[in-house]
Amino acid sequence: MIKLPLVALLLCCALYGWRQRALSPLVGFLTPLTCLIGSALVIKPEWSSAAAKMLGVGRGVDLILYIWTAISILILANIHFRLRAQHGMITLLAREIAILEARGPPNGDQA
Amino acid sequence: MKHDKICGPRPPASPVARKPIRAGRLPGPRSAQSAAGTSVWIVIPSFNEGPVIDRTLASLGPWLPNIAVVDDGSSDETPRLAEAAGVHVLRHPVNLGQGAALGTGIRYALLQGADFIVTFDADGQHRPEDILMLLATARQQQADVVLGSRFLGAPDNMPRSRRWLLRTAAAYTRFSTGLELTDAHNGLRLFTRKAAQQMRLRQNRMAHASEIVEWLASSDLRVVEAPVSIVYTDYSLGKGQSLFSSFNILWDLWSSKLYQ
Repeated sequence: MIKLPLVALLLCCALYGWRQRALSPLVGFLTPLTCLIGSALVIKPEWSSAAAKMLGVGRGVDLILYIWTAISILILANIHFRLRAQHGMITLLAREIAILEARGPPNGDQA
Repeated sequence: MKHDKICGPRPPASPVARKPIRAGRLPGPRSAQSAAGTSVWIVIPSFNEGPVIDRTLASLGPWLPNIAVVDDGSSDETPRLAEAAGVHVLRHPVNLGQGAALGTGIRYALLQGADFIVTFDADGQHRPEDILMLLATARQQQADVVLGSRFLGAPDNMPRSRRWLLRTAAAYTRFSTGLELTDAHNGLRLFTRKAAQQMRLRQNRMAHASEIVEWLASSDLRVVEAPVSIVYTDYSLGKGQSLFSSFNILWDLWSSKLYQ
């Protein structure tokens, strides 16, 4: 029963990541990929145990935890990049304000 | 001696590109503007430089007529002192970083019709006469960009730790860009109008110095280094970059490659 909301949540995360590809191709590619892998493991839990064994992680639940951690890091990275982009826009605005309000020497010539 | 570099995306080794060029003669103590017959603008980014800004501006006054101080949201008397010195003053409403302040000053100088733009630190560690050396080098070598290098200049009182840090930074720059620079983080630089118009700084903070070198490496601009001297004081050393800052610079540089 819990699988359905979990898969829905992961698909929402995948969609969110995909929509960020214009800002960061890395986030836009890796987030949906990780979310889709996570969805597959939720639907087929036995896959997680097999994959964990193959990857040397230990238990399947550990692998899911790591994948969730990876998704969280990618979303954090996206927020970081978004903040940087907004900082760039603030810089442009501040620059225009500074130039518009520039104050020259009183007599138009410097000392 | 300074080294001539023709930048490009890692061009094949060229004997012309790597041939050392003899240093030009230092012009006499006259106005750089009249010496060049062109418009020379000095851009000085400043943030809380109240203790030294008036001294720095006073040292430049007799030599150079066009000075733009970009106050990067200082909370002290820096903008008032700069205005009192009779120079152009631009104020960022908030603190953005030295790279952003340089970008603002360069854009302003271009709007004022600058032919040459020189960036100069506010903390008084640069010598005004070195600006004339940069101008002479630009004219003699027909360079688009002249980068000051403290390692080509006269010996100074640079602390050993600072020398090690800067040498490491220069080595990293040589490795990452292919440009044979001796000093990658010197605030004293000259850009011609053509070069300044092409410059697009994205790094607001201290990573702008590395960003400039990366941009030069990928451009077709002619870049040379010229010897300059740095006057180290307790004040300038206190405001300088630490080892920890270099990690921030690397993070800013690398992370900026991951987003548009």
